[in-house]
Formats: sequence, C-alpha cells, structure tokens
Amino acid sequence: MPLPPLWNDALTVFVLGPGTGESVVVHAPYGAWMVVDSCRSGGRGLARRLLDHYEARPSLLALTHPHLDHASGFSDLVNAFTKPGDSRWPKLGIVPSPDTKTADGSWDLEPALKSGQVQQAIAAVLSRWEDRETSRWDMKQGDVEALGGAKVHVISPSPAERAAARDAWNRGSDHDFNRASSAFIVEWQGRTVLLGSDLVENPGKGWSDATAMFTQAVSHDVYKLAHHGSDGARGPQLGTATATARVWIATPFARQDLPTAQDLAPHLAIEPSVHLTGLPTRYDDQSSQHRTVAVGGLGALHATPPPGGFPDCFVCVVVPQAGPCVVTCGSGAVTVTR
Amino acid sequence: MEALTPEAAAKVVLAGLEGHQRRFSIVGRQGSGKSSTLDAVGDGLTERGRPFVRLGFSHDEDAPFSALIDLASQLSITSPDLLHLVRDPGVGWRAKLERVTSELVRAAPVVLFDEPRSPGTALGRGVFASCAHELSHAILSADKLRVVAGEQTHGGFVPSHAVVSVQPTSLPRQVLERAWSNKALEAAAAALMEQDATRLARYSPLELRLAAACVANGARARDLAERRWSPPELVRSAVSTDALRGAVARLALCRMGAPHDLAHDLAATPELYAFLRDVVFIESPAGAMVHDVIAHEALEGRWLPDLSAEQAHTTIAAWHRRQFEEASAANDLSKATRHEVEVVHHLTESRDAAGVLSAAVFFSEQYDLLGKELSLAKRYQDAVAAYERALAYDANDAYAHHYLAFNLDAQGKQASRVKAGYEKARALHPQRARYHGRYATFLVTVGRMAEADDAWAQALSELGYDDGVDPALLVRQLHLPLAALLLHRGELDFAERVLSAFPRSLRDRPAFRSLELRLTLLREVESETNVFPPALAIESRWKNPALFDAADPRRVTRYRPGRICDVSERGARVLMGERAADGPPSYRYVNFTRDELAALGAERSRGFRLAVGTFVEHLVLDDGTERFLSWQPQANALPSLELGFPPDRYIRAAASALE
Repeated sequence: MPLPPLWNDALTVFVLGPGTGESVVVHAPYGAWMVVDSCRSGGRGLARRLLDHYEARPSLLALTHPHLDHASGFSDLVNAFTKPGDSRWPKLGIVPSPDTKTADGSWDLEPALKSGQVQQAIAAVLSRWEDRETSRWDMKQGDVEALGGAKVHVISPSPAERAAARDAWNRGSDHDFNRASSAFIVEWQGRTVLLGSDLVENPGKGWSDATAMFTQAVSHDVYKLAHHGSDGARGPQLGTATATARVWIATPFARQDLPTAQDLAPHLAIEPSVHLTGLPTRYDDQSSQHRTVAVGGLGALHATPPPGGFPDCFVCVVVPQAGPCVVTCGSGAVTVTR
Repeated sequence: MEALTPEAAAKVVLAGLEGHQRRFSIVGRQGSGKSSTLDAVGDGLTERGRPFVRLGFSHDEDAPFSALIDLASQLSITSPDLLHLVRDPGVGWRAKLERVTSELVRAAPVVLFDEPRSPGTALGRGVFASCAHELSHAILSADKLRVVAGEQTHGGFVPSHAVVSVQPTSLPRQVLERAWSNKALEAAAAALMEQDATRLARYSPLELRLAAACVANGARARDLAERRWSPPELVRSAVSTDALRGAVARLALCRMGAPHDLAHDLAATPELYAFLRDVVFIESPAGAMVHDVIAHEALEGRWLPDLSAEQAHTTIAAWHRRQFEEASAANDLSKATRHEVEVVHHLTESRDAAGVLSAAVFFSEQYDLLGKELSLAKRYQDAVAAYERALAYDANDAYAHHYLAFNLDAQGKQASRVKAGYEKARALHPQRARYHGRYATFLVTVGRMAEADDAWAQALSELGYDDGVDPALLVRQLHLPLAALLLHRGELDFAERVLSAFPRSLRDRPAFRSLELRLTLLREVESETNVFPPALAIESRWKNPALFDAADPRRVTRYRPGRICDVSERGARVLMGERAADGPPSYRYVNFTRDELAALGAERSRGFRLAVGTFVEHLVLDDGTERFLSWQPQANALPSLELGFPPDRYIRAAASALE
C-alpha cells in the first residue's frame, strides 16, 4: 500500500510502527509538519523516509520520553534538519532526563544498543538549543505551539512527574519513565487528535491528571493509544463511547508482546475497532497485506509472505474539516475488531 | 677507546680546547662521571681565564625554559638586556631562543653541556620536549661555538676522534674512611675496606657510599666487590625504608641544591638527614644535591605519595621565594630570576593554581604545565583558568587551545567553546592524532553527527598511515575512542566505518576484536536476531548446543537457541533462532507460559528466576524429551567500553542548568 496523496485542507496523521518502536508524523494545513518520536526498520528511520516521500521538512520535532522504542533514529532527524547554515530549523522538544538504564555491565543487549541512542537524541537536541535559543521547546505541560493552522498542546507530564523523573535520573534509581511521557493534543478547525505517547495511568495517574486539565482530550477524533494499548496505560476518562466514530490506533511492541488480545479487549468495548500498525513480532515477520481480524483471532494471526518494505507498517488518518476521518492502512497493518 | 677517569678526561678536553678543536663528547653511562668531567673542565677554564657557560636539563617538563633562563642569566654579565627579554612572557619561545643563541655565539664562551636532547633519545619526554630539542640543536649546530657535551651515548655531533669515554673511579679508602654518623655504616665501610681495593675502585665515590649503606642493610661486602653492582641496584638496596625513600625523594625535588636549612626541613628528622649526608648527598656550592641516578629511581619508583610530594613542593617553593626576595633586595636580577623560575615550578607541582597565576611567569608555556597538573588532579575549572592565561600571551598555543577545550569538555559545559578550542588546536597542529580524536569524539558526544563525520574524514586525510604516524598510537588516540563512543551511542554505521579503517596489521589486538564483536552483536540486536551471548565465539554458533552435556548419549533432534526478552507473571517471551540443515537461520518470538517452562524444567524450585537477557537453549532429544537450559546471566554480559569521561556529561550539566 503506497502512502496516500496529501490533502491540503485536512489534518493528516501518520502512525508508524514496524513491530518495535513508534513514530507519529502530523501534517497540518498548509504544509506544516510535526514528528513525534522516531523508530527504524531495516536500519532506516521511518519518519525520515516519510518526510522524504512528501518532500517535507518538519517545524516541530518531539521526543516524548527517553525510551528505547521511541528514540531510535531521532538524532538522525535532528541532524538532518538542523544543518548549520539552514535558517529553517524546527523547534526541538524533549524532557531532558534519559532513562537510568545503562548499557555497560548489562546482560540484556538491547539497552546496550538503545540507551546510547536515547543519549544521542537528547545530546543532539541540547546542543541545538545551545546553538539557537529559538529551537528550544521545553514541552512543559500547557505549552502551546503553532503547527501551520493547527495548535499543538502539551498535556503531560505534570511538573511533579517531570521533577520525579529528573530526580530518579540524577539518583540513578529505578523509575517508570513512561510516567513522564509527553502526550499531545493537536487541534485544527474543531477537530482533535490525541497522541498518547507512552503516558500511563498506573502508576502516576498520568491520564487522570492530563484529561482533568485538558478536557478536549476526551472528545477526540483520532487517538494514538498510549503505551501500545497496554492495560495499565488506559485512563478512565477515555473509556466512554461517543456518538461519532473515532479512529483508534496502536503500535506494537514485540519484545513484550504488546498489545495482546487481552490488552485490546477493553478498548474494543468502547470503539468497534483498533488499527494496529503491525503485529507484535519481528519486522521480517510482518504481513504483506492489510488484514482485518476479530480480537479473538489476533493471537493466531501469522505472518503472510514477506513484506515489500517501506511503506508497510503504518496507519494514515485524514481528518477533514467536517465529516468522517479517512483511514489508510499500510500492508503490514492489522485492523482488530470486536 | 680507552675509558678515562673524569680528571684525565678533563685534561684531554682542556688540551684540545687550547688548540683548534671545537667539539668534544664526554661519553659514559649514567653515574660514570660525565658531570664530574664537565666540572673539572670548568675548573680548568676558570684557571685559564677562559669564559664558559654550563647548561643542562632537569627531568621536569619545564626543563627547556629553566635551561634557557639559566643560559640567559650566565650571559647577562655581557648582555644585560638579555635577561629582561627572556623574562617577558609576551615574547615567544622561538624568539627568545634565537636571541639567546645569537648572544651566545657573539660572546663565544665554551659551552659545557650536560646531556643535550635529541628527538630520538629517551630523555626529555613530555609536553615541551621539542623545545629542549630545539635548544640543543641551536647550540650544537652553531659552528662558531666550542662545545663540550656529556652524553650517555655518542650522539654523533662530533667526529669520533673527539669522543672521550669516562668511567668512574675512586680511591676507596679516601671515601670510606670518614666520620660516619652511625655504627652500622661505619662497620659496613670497614667491611668494604677489607675487600680488594682495585675492584672497589670501579665504583664512583657516591657509589661507594651507597655500597656501604647496602652492606649496612645486610648485603655482603664480598658480593659488592666481586660483581660491580649497577647504580639502580645500589640505590634500591641502600635506600631501603619508606622513611628514607620519602626523605630522598623530597630532597630530589630540589633542582638547584638544598642548603643546610632546607635539607634539614625536607629530611624531616636528624637521623634521616645524617644518613642522607653520609650516603646520598653530593655537596655543591648551592648545597646538597641528589644525584640524577638516585633522583630517577625516586621518581620512577614513586617513592613519594602525591599529597606528600605536593607538601614538599610547597616547602621548596617557599624557600625559593625567600631567596628570590633576598636576591631582589640585593638587585641581583640573575639570581632572583632563577629562583622565580623555581618558585613557579614548585607551585605548579604543588598544584597551587592561585600561587602560579599571581607569580611572575616568564614563558606562557608554564601556564600550560600548570594546566596539565591541575587537569591530572581533576581540577578542570582551575586548569581552564591556567590555559586561558597561556592563551592570553600566545593565541597560537595549540596545546593550550586543545587542553582548554579538553578541560571544559570534561565538565560537560560550554560546548561552543569546547568546539572552538578543539578546532583551533587541530588547525594549528593537524598532524596530532589526539587532537583529531578528541574533536571527533566530542562532536559525537554532543550529537553533532554530520560534523563528526567531517572531522573523521579530515582526520583520515591529515593522518595517513604512511605519514610517519605510529599506527598503534594513531588508533589509540583516534580510532578506538571514536569507535567505542559510536558503539555506545548506537551509531553502528559510523562505528563500522571507523573500524573498517583500522590498519590490518593491528586487527588482532584485543581492543579491536572486542569492538568488532560488539558491533556484530549490536547489529544482531538491531535486526532482532541476537540470540547468542558474547561469551560464545561466533564460529562456535550453531555447531552444537552450548549448554547441553556433551556426555549425554542422546541425540539432539531439534535445537533452538534463544534470548529472553521479557518476563511477566504470564511467563517468558523468548527470541528464538532455528536453522534447518544447510539453510540460513530464522528467528521469531516465542511465548512460554509458566506452566510450560515448569514442565521443561526451566523454572527452579524456589520460584521463577529466568531474567531478561538470559541465553537459553530449547532442545528436543531423540528419546522425545525436551530440555530448556539457561546460562547464568552474567555470562551474557558485554565487556565494558572504555569511554573516558561519562558520555552523558553534557546532558547532566544541561539538565541541572535547565531546572
């Protein structure tokens, strides 16, 4: 499934997730782009490839939290769009507290690869902040940034969670850094896209806090589910069905087998379907044809012939000024129904 | 060539100097009497009314600067302005050297030169060794000068007929019959005098005194007579206690000799002082000196802990300051200058940053040396101040630019200054691998990958393997630190390029192999194919199960190695590999419930212990049984990377500044 042509007069959300890792790219009228997080497949950054496809450059780049599956390739994006002589640098958003996991001495080799990539992403952003103050985006709760004709609201983390993450990092103590994830609302012409990052409800009551302050989060049109649709990430305020159809999308996390049918079942009790950008398995085992499957059959779904490569594991949602959203699923995507 | 005694050698040299001979080389090993020969030549010249200057280098890093000051002081009698010029820190080394050399040629005294330095010799390593080489070369190449040089090996600056070989000699009885300060030394001296005097005469007077101390410490006098002990052997055996070593090491720090009062202070106790006077000291007009052989042992053997050395330097600096003040009051600029140099040297060694920055410094490089000491003591911000001062005098001081950047880099702050400093140093000295290496690793550290890429490319173009750069040094200063940091940061493509530029001749070194293995494993992690642990050699993979008892007679019919990716209350998720005969391996995630694991024997009796990262093997045997074997997690660990300063230092510094 090729990437769809762009609508000029609509908000477009691309959710990319090749099995492990996620990235969200938003296009707002007219010609404004935002990238939230970064992931790679086949050694290449997906957001970068998508931007290249549309010959686009972002005006906002955000790393929601310092976790491995969101930061891979983020520094490449920073490097690509902050060339020294270029006057059009994007604003760069981070919460500068890397995870406490370190590579050395670890016997799990994944942090050995990816904790350094998180450092790399944060270091790249901090050095650009030093170069140009105008590139700095602290992503404090309540901050609002313009994205073309749209507005991007930072709805988390709370100042307390932000401080707790920083303290844990300074002390080198264990901490769930998902609590300090930055979630966003993108508003345009009364339409709302909720990007849940990995913000969790338990522990920390992150969603209760965010939705209490930003009530428009509840009445969204599109929701990128928090933390791969896991059970602990769902806030109670998002658990109410609405009259209008909403588009819910989740990215998988293969290493922890997220989301499972059990994870998705509560979501499907609210919305009739959830789009997965891919299966929670290796990228090489992703499907080459978009499929729709009832939740009970998710666990038994096996790989079909090998994928054809980018663009494959994505879901694209076009949010027009009025009327229903238009969803395009990549060949690796799976739509899970009740 | 027959070796002469120092006195005989001096006569030969003096006779030659009376004629047309302009160059002599006095050759002998350390402690053989070269300095004594030069002393005797100096005495002879004084008797003849011939002017001469004496020149030599200390073992310290400021050696070329103190030597040039020394030379200018000696020439100031005939060139009073010279000393003012050399004292001016705003005038660079080269200009001073040129001026002093030309005054030397004009005045044309005989130059008595102790151990000239040349690039090929082991002497004079350090930051400013090249300045000592330049000074030596300037004098040795001045055809009009008459030069008598003491050398350990003939450096080739004179024809062979002008080489005079010396060897130590003494009249043992003259040396050993003295008023020893304690009975043990007295008895030892007596025991030595009972030996064959001709054999003992092979020792210098100082060596004989050390020999007496060796005997007092239990060595057999006969052994010392029968076999000529080497100077280091004598020193180590004679100076045998920590207290003695400390006292000797403190005295060895005095480069101009220690008069009675200072020597007493540094010796610490009357008993130690008495021993030093009996065995170690060489008396000179300036006071007690510790011979180079002994000083070298004290330095190399680290006879003084750092803190004690700092205290000793402080004491010596205070003494020189008093001497400087007295000399200043007496308007003796030459003497005052010499003591000022010593004040700065000892304050530097005692890491007294404020002291040096407020003192009179005659060479901007002296601030560099202060910076180095402070940096070694991890006083990075103080070191920055020292390098700033050096640069205020010499904006083209590559060393200062580099280390100013390095000491800011260590703190993870002012990245733009760090960048500018590394760039300037690299531009001034593009042949220094370390400058390229530190710059490139800094750029990676702060996430400037495009610039890091350019820096790497420039390093390769500036530092070709055929350009006389030692490849081992090059990879140590450039390739290895850069590749290690890139691997740490998950920049695998770049790391692979750096490792592929490693010289083939050095690829069997453990440091390279370790990084190469890490790259392979991380590539596997990236492609979700990493099941085997680092401890298992790559060539051993897939051949046989690593954890299955080889003595077990059953045949393995199915083999799936794996690595645990997640453990929860439901069970374990394992990335497993499997290879069909002759086919490539395939990999997939497999879930095992707790019940399944328990049935396979993976769950231990005291609860679930399998942890993320553990290497496991799932086997099916020919009798139908299945096994699920796991390694101790520690066996799976990657070796640590050598990363220098913490790679997250800029992030930490920024985070604390932001909040």
